[in-house]
Amino acid sequence: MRIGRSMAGLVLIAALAGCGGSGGGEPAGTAGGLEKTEINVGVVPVPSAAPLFIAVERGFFKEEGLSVRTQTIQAPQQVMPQILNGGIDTFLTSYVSLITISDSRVAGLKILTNSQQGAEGISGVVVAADSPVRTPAQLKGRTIAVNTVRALGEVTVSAHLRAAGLTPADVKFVPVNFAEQIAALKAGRVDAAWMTEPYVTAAKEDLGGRVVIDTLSGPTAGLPLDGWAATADWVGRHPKTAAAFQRAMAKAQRIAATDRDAINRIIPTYTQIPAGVAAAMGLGEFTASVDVRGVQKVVDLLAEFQITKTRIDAAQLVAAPPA
Amino acid sequence: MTRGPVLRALAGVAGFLLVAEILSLTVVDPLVLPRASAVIAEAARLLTGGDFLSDVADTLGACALGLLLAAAAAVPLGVLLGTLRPVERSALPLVEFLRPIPAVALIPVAQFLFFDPGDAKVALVVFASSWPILFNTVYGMRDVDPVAKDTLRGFGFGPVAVVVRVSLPSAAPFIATGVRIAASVTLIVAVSVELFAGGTGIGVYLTEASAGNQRVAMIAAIVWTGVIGVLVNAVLAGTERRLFRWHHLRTAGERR
Amino acid sequence: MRRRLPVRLAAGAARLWPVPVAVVLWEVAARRAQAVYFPPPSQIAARLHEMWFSGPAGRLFLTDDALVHVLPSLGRLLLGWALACAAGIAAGVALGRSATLSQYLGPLIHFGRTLPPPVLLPYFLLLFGVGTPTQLAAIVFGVVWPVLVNSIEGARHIDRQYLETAQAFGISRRQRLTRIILPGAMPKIFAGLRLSVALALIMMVVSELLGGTEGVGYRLLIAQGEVDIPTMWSATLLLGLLGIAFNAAFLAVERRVLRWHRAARAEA
Repeated sequence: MRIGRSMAGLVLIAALAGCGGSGGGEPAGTAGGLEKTEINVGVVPVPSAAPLFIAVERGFFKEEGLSVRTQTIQAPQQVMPQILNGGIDTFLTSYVSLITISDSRVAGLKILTNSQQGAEGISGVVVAADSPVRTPAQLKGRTIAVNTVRALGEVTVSAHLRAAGLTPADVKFVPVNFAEQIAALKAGRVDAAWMTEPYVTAAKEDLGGRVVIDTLSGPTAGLPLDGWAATADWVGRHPKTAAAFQRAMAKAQRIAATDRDAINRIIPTYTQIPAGVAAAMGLGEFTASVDVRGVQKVVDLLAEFQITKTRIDAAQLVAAPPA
Repeated sequence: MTRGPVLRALAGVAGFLLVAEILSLTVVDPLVLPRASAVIAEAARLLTGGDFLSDVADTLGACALGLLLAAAAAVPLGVLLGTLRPVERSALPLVEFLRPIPAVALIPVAQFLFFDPGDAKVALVVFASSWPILFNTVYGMRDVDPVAKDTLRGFGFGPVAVVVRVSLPSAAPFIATGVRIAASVTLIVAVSVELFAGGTGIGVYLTEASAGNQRVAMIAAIVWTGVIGVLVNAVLAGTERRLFRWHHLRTAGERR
Repeated sequence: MRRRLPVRLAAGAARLWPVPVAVVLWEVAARRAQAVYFPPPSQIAARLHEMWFSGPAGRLFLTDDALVHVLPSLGRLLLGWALACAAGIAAGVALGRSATLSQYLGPLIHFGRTLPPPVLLPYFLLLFGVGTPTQLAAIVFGVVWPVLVNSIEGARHIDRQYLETAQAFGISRRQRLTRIILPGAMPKIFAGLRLSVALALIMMVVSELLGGTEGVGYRLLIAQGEVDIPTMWSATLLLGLLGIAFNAAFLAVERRVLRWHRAARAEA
């Protein structure tokens, strides 16, 4: 029975592989010449996703003839199969995930639109009020919580440790979800935690937490954080849909860049971040164009700390801007 | 059911909550583990919004479908393996190979095979919840009284009739226990898969609460998961008692 | 009547025919499909060998990576499983024989066994600390339920005749436990233990998804982050192979323990 089912599955894969590339069943030449009018977007429930919901709310997608369905995801790595089999069209991804996935050669990804550009005060290594750690160098031999190992936290912290004369091997990175980091600091289970907003603000308020390293300053100042991506294959097969998505998102990014109130209002509608917290938290800069040099810097950092094997050319990761 | 057992059950729960509350007032910092009273208040609040309830409905729907499919697959297979030893011996290595693979590790496979994340979740629920049913069925088939089987054979009944008239009824309590264990497995797997892979359901609610730094809401949602487990178990156990009264009459200790 | 060893080995090999058939089918299908998420088993096995079993002969061919990740996982697995089984059987028999006790604790037990261990990991981490303590707690918590529930069921449903006979002969409480209740509950306890073996392997992986710095599950977590599909499959293959090995060991023990039980049944 079970064998039968898995065999059926393999036959299904064989069938899928057989018709791969033909773009199975999508109607050609629909409204406005779009290859596809209904797209499923993978959304991480974080502030960076705000412009997408602004675009939905203000009808920017509708103007382009697109109808958008969203699916909550944690990180693109966890839905890669769905991205590959066409279940998810575009998705929010950190540049670290984008580069790591491209490095794996499982799929070539292209960034369509930037979301947040890093700024000071929105992420950092936090310690409890009574911690003896005051400088980055004093983190030697300490346990640092990160939400995901071998990702943005580890890389940016490592860059700052190196500036302080330490190596990544001098500390121990432990995976602990952002939501539990404040409690873990309070209970003394970790010595420090790399966290982002709104947790940094919460740690200061609830714990009297101190920021030992601002991880988007100095050697890592202004790194681009995340954006909306699709596979290179998808962009190749849906150039007009991709351009329509980019145009709608560019409008929303411009609003997000200039109208903080719009962000504050939209965040509580798709996250569980309360309105008060949304208004008070630090945010990066929302821009539409991709900072290719910044992305190259992330590529270089990931390669330097041996999280990726190759140094990809950042320009390859960026889809052409809409005509 | 008389009032005594219900009161004792409530007393057990109340005692647990009281201990938790006292601990959070004394030893444990509420920032580390929120107070029991705060969690209960939050759990009540979750019921007033539609978001959480629709997530619960999504998770339970996947669980129910998964359990049904798992039982439909695992009971016949268990009867087959339990009655025909050569078949069991041949199938065993494959079964034992597949069984210790966590559903969480198979998420990519399921996502790849099923376009819809909901279908992928049901497939993983079926995968994980089949094992308790399968094994309890096999054990139940083996525990059948050989005398009864021989007696029926003596009367000239064929092997199928022996399975239907003796083995299945005799193994039924084992199978029922397997289904009951599987029911809680379905919830565990469904929530875990939602947590890792996204989509909809209680696990996704947890992801969203976590991303919004709403720890009390997270714990309240986890508490509801446990409460649902208690209710589902109570329903299944009640059904078992009604169905297998004869089994319980023969044995001591069943006084609930 | 015992057959000669070669004959028995040949019979054993003949029974295992589905294994090579399944492997060959898998290989052919994966090669034909060319799907990135389904590397052929030969490629997975090669990665598994290279990653963990290509070390020096003096170390049983284990690589450094295996020493760092596989051995600590197995150690925690065995310890956690043993603790969970001991606790589950002891508490289960007590609860199965005391209706009052099980009435007080029943709802809490069913509450506990429905909680998904992955969502509880953060709380184990907060209560017990980073690394092995969290992982042991998670393994014990995840594994104990089937043992507990089956032990309760087994101890509750003891044939009344036996208990009454025992009472008539006036045997001690201790003898009643070791001679009647435990043996009577044994088939169900073993059904629970058998479920727990595979569950322990599952929990070994799940317990390392948070707050750990080594282990097979940690390795799987990293591989998933890097979309390193051959490594993800290698860890999965290792779990399957360990499952077969542990199960064989378990069945050998079970056969010895339950032999008399079946014999008694057959004589009855």
